[in-house]
Amino acid sequence: MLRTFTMKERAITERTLNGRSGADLQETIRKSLDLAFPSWPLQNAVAVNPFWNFSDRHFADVMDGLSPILHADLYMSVSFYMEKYRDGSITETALLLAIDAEAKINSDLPCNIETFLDLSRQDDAPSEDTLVFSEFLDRKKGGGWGEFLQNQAAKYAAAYFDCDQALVKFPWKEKGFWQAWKAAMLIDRSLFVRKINAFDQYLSEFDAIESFDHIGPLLKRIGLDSSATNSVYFARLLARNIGWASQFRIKEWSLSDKEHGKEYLLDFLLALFAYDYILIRHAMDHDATNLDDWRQTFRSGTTADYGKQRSAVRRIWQNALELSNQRSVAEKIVIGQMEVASPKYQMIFCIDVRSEPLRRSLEKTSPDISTVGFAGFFGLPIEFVDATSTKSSHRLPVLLRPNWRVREDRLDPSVHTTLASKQSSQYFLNFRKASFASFLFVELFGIFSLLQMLGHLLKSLLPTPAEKRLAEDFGRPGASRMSITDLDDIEIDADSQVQVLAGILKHLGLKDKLGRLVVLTGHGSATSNNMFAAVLKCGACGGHSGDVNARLLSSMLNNPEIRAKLESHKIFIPKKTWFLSAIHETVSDSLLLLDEPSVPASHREDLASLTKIMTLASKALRKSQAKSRSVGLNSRLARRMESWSELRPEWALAGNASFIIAPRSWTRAIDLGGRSFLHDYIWQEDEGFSTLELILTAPMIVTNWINMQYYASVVAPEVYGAGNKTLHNLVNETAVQEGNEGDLRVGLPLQSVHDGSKWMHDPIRLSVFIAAPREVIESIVRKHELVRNLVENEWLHMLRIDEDSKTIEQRLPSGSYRTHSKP
Amino acid sequence: MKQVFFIRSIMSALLLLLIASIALFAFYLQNGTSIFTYASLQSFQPSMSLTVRVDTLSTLMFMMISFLGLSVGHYSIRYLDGDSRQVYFFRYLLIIVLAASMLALSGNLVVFFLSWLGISAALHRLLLYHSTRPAAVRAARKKMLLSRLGDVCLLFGIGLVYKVTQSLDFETIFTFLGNEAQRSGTPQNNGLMTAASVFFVLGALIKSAQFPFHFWLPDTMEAPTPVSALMHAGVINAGGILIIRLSPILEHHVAANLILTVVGALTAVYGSLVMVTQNNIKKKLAYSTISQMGLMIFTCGVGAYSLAVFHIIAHSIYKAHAFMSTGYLVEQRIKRSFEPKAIGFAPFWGIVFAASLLILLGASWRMGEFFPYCLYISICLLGFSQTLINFKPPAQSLTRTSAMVIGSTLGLSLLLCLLFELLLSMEFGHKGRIDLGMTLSPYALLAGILGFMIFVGGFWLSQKLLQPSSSFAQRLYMRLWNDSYFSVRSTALLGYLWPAHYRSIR
Repeated sequence: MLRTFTMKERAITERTLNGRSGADLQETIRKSLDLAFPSWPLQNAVAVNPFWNFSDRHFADVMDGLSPILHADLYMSVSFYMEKYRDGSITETALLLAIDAEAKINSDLPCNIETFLDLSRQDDAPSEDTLVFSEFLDRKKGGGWGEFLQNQAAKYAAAYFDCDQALVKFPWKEKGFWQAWKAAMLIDRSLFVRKINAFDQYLSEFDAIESFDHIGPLLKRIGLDSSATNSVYFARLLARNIGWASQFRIKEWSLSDKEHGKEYLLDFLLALFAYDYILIRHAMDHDATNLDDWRQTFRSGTTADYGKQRSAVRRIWQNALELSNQRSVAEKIVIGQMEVASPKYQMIFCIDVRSEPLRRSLEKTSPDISTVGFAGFFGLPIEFVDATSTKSSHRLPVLLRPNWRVREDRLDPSVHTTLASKQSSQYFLNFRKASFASFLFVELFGIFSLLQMLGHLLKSLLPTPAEKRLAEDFGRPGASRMSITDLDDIEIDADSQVQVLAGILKHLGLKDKLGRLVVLTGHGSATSNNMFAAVLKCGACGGHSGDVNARLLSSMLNNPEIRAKLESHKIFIPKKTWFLSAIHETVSDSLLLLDEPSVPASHREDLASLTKIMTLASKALRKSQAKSRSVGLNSRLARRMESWSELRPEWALAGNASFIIAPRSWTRAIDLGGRSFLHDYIWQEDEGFSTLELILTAPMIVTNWINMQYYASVVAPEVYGAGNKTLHNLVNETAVQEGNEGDLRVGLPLQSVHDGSKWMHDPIRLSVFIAAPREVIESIVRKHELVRNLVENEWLHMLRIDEDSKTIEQRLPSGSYRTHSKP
Repeated sequence: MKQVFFIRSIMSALLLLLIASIALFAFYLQNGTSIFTYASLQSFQPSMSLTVRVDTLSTLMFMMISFLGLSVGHYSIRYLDGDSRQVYFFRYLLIIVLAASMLALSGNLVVFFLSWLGISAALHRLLLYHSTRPAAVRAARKKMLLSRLGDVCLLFGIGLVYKVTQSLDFETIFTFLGNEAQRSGTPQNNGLMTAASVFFVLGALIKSAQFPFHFWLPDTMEAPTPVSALMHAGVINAGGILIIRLSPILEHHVAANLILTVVGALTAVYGSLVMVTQNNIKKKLAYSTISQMGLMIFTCGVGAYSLAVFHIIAHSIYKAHAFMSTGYLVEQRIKRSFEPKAIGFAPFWGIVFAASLLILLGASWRMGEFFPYCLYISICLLGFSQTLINFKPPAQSLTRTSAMVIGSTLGLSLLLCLLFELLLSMEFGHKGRIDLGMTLSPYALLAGILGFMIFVGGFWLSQKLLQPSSSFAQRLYMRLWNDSYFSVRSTALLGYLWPAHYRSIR
C-alpha cells in the first residue's frame, strides 16, 4: 500500500559524501546542493526537516559543519540555556549527565557544574569569514553588492516560477533555468547600471558552459581550485539564497516520471555563481587587491578551527535541555496500566500533538469513550478532486505517492452554479490583474471594498460562533458520492479496496474491540486572512484538513458489501458498529460530526450521547487551554478564527517534544501538555511487527520532519524561519518574502514560535518512546537505512519502554541500551 | 497595561474623529460650502486667518481619512500585537491622520503646507519602523529626498501666489483671481501665476508618485503591512487634494493642465504595464497605486475633478483593503479550480477600440462639457476588453458562465453610467468649473487627445506583452519588469550621499 520514498530521495542520500578524498569537482558541487531542501507551496505547506539531506551524518557534526556556512549558530544562545537552568527547565542532574557524556569524548572540558557555568559565561561571537566575493566586498568597502546580486538572482527565480501572480509571463519560461537566465541577461541592463560596464564580456565567458561539468577553467581563472574551498564556496552561495534553492528542490521533487532526473537546482547554483563570477572578473580588471584579500580570508575561513569549545558548550546545554524534558515525560508514563473494559464509543485521532489534550478531555468526560492515535490520513493513499474543480490535491504524507484518485460528485444542482462562478472568476481576476482593466476595477469595485472592510470590522467585533464557522468550512450541503479510481481514471474494484482497508484495520489494532460508534476524526483549522493556514492543518494529509479521508474511510467501512468482503480477510465488523467521521478544529478545539444524517435509527441514541460528550469535552478543554496553551493568543477564541488581523490563531505544534508509541492506557492518566505525538501500539497484537515497522518508517519520519522544522525555525530564524508575518510579501501567490528582500523565506514564521517576548517552542530533538522488545526495534533499525540514520546519528532520541521491569531505557548509538536511572 | 491604555486612547481619538467627520459632512449637506475662522492673525504680516473650509472636497476627504485611520488602527491592534514598536506605530498613525485631516480641511496655504510637512515627517517615522533593515532606511531616505524637492516646489508656488494676490487664504485668492479675470476679460493671464501653477503641479506630481518621481514607492514595502495600507490609501492622495483644491488657480493655465494630462497619462500607462510584470503582491500593488494615481492626475488635468475625487476615495479604500487582505490570496488560489489557457483578445479589442474612438470623437465634437467624461469612458472600454484574457470557459458550463459574465458586465456598465450621472451633479473645485455650456478650449482638447493617444499606445503595448516572443516584446518586458532600473539606479545614487549606510551590514 505504501510506496516509500521516491527514488530521487534515495539518490540524494546516496550521493551525499562522507569522505573527501578523490572527490572531483562534480561531486564537490553536488555535495553543496545538500543544503537545499524542498519547501512546499503555501497552499499545501507541510513541515520539512531542513537537514534531511544530512541525516546520514551525526546531528552535532552537521550543526557544527553548517554553522560557518550559514553564519548562524544552530543551537540556542548560551543565555537562553542559562535562563532555562535558572528556572529549572534544565535540571542539575541532566546537566551533569550531559557534561559527563561530553567529557568522555572531549577531555578538555571541565566536569563539574561550576566550571562549566563559568565557561558558558565567557562566550564569544561566531566567526563569519566564509564569504562569497560580493559579501566580502560589502564588508570591506560597502556598495551593497551582496544584497544587490542576491536580489538579482531572486528576481529571475521568481519570474521563472511565476504561474499566477504576473499576468505577463517571463518570456524565457519554457527553457531550462540556466538557458533562460542567460538569454534574459543579454538584454538585462541592471549590472550595467551598477557600472559593471564589461558585464556582457564576462557573461560571454559562460557561452561554452552548458552545465557545471565545464566550469573548471572558470574556477581556475578566478583562483578557486582546492576542492575543500570550492565546496564551502558553493554551499555559501546557495545558503545566501536558500529560500529560492528550496523552490528549485520542490520543482525537482514534483517532476512527473517522464521528466524525472531533470536538474533545476544545479542551474540555479550556476547562475548564482555567474553573478559572483562577473563581480570577481570586474575586480580582476579593476582592483585586484580586493580579490587577493578575499581569497586569503576565505581560505582562512575554511581552514579555521571553528570554536570547538564554543560548540561543545552549546552541545552540552542542548543535551541537558533535552534530557531534562525527556525525563519529565518518562517519569509520567504509567507503564503496564491495564486497558479499561471495551468502551461504547471510540474516536480515532491523528497523532498530532494537538490531539492529546482533546483525547484526554474526552476520556475524562466519560468512561464510555476511548480514543486511539493513528496517522491522520488513516492510511488512505489518495488524491482528491473536489466536485467543483479539476485540480487534484494530495491527501497523504508528502513522502508517499497516491495511487487512488477520489472524485467527489455532488448530486444537487447548485453545484453547477458554483462551477460556473468559479470559472468566471478568471474574468474578475483579470479586472484586478490586467493593465487597463485595473482602472475599471477600481472605479467599479473599489467603493465596494468599503463594505468588505466594514464586514471585516464587524466580523472581528462580532465573530460568528465557532460551530457555525466549522459548518461553513467542513460541511457539505446536499448529498455527495465519492468514486475511487486509480491515477489513470480506471475504477478500482471492491476487492482491491478491501485489501487496503484490511491493512488499515490491522494497523489500527481495533480488530475485536470495536464499539457501537467509531469516529474517524481528522483535524483541520479554520482561520482568516492567513497565508500560513496550511501549516496549521494536517501534515499527514499533505497540508490539508483530514475531513476527506475521514469521510471516505467511514463511508467505506459502513458499506455492507465491503464488510462482507472484509470477512475473507478475517476481519469481522460487528453489526452493532457504525463508523462516523468528524473533524477536530484546532483553533477552537471543537469537534464537528461530518456525516451525522447517515446514521441509522438504531444508533440515534448513541449519537445523541456521543455528541453530548464531545461538546462537554471541548468546552472543558477550552477552559483549561485558556490558561495553558492559549497564552499570548487573543483571549477571544472566535476572533482568532474570524478576524482578518490575527497573526497568531493558535500555537499549532509548538512545544512538540516526544512521540509515544505505546498502549493508550499508559498515557491516559497523565497530562502531556499537548507536546506529545501519540500512536497507539500494542506489540503483543502486532503479527510480524509490520505495524511497528510502518510506524517507524512513516509516522516517525513525519514527526521528525515536524520536530526539526520547529527546531530550525527557532535556533536559526534568519535562515530557516519564515520571518516576520507583518512584513510578509506574497510571491507568485505560493511563497513569501520579507518586504522587498529578494530571497524567499521558508520554514515557520516568527509569529508561530514567538509571542513577542519569548520563544513558545523549546528547540529540542524528539524523544521517541517505544513499547516493544529490543530485538524488534533493532531489526527494524537495521533494515531501514532512513530509520537507522535518524537513530544512529541522533536526529532523535529513541527510548524503549520495558513493560516487565517497568523501566525506560535509552537506545544509544550502536545499539546498546542504558536504563534511565530513577531520580 | 500602559501600552493597552495608550492604544485604546488613540483608538478612541480616531473614533471621535470619524464621528466628527460624519457630523461635518451632515452639516455641509445642510448648509453648503462654508468657511469658519477660528483665529484671525491680523498682527502678522502677511495677515491671514486660520480657517476651516467646509466643502465637498474637504468633508469627503476628512471622512475618508478618518475612516481609513480607524480601520487601519483597528487592524493593527491585533496585527502588531506583541511587536515591540506597536506603540510607536499608533503614535505616528494618529499624527498622520490628524495631519491629513488638517490638510483636507485647511482654508489657507500656510496650514496646508504645515500639514503637508507633518504628513511627510510622520510617514518618514513609519517607514523607519524597522530601522535595522537597511532597505527600509534606504526607502525612507529616497522618499525623504523627493519629498523635500516637492516641498520646495510647493513653497515656491505659495510664494508666487502671495506675490500676486497678497493673500494666503484660499477664499481670498480665489475671489481675487475671479475679480481679476472679470476685469481683464482673460483669465489670469499672468506669467507669475503660470509659474506658480507649474510649481504646484510639480509638488503634487512628486507627492503622488508620478513618473519619474515614482521609484520610492515600490521600495517602501520594508514597513509592516498597515503602514503600506496607510501610505497607499491616504498619504499618496495629498498631491491630488492639492490639485483639486487649487483648481481655480490651475485650470486656466494651459501649461499646468498639459503637464498634468501628459504626465498623468504616462504614469497611468507605465505603472499599469510595470504592474502586470511584477511577481510579488506588494510590488504589484505599489505599481497599481502608481498607475491609479496617474489616472487620477490625468482626470484632474482634463478637468474632471468630481471624477478625480471619486477615484481617490474608491482607490484608497480598495487599496487599503487589498494590502490588509493579501492573506486570503493563498486560499483563493486553491479555490480557483481550472488551469487557465493563454489566449489573446485580438478580435475583440479591435471592436472595442473602434467603439471608444467613436465615442471620443462624438463627444468632443458637440458636447465639450462632457469631453473629460467621454475620455474616461473610452479608457474604461479599453479596459473591459482585457477582462477576457485567458478566459475560456469549458463547453459544459459555457451558457451559465457566459450568462454570469455578460450579466455582470452589463450590470457594471449600468453602475458606471449611474456613477457618472451622480458625479456630474456634484460640485467640485471652483464653482462652475464643469457648468454645462462651457466651451472647451482648443488647448484642453489637444491635451486630452494627446493623453488619450498615450493610453491607446499603452494599450497596444499591453497587447504585445501578452505573448512576448518577438525581440521587441522581450526588450519591453525587460524594461518594465525592472521598472527601467529606477530602483537600482536610485539606490546607487543614494550610496554616494550616505556611503556609510550603504553597506548591507549596519
